[in-house]
Amino acid sequence: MEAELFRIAVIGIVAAILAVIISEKKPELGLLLGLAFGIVVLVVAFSKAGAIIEVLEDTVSKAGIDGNLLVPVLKVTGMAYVTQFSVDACRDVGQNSIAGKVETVGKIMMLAVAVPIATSLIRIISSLI
Amino acid sequence: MHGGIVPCAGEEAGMDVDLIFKIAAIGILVSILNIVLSKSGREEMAMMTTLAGVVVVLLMVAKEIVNLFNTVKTLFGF
Repeated sequence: MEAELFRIAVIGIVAAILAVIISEKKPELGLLLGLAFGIVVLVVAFSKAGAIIEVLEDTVSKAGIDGNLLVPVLKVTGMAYVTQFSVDACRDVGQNSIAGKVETVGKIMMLAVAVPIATSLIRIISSLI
Repeated sequence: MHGGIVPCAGEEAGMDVDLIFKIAAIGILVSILNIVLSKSGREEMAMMTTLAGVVVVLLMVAKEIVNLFNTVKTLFGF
């Protein structure tokens, strides 16, 4: 893991310098280079994150919590990452209004996914009363 | 186990660094071509070269974006 981090840190410096060099003449290609770097780093990071989620699922099943409750949480986390990635890319290109729209859509969709958890909470509370 | 993980990870990162360098090389090449074509008075061709370079890089990046989103999808159980 730590070797991976050092490698990505060095790649980040190199990518930043290359982006500056290219942006002088072709700003759009510099932006695409930044985007490509983001993708590369996130793919490496997410390929490592599978172990964390496995541990999380294991802990939840051992604690006797309904496994279905974890699904929306993970889904919302993934949606948040995707939304953030897209919003950052749009902001980099300077399209703040498009970024705002993507953000709004992401928020609404995450809320829609999270509604079943809220309803199950309400059901638990009403069964206690 | 440690030895099993690291080479695989290095392979992955190596493949990915190629993408960044490829894009940087295309950017430098396109800007040089652009300068040469502009100096020799072929503004149209210079613009076409720029467009072609951007489209090629955009295709490469789009492919990787799909890859990233698929990783997120499988990881978070969509």
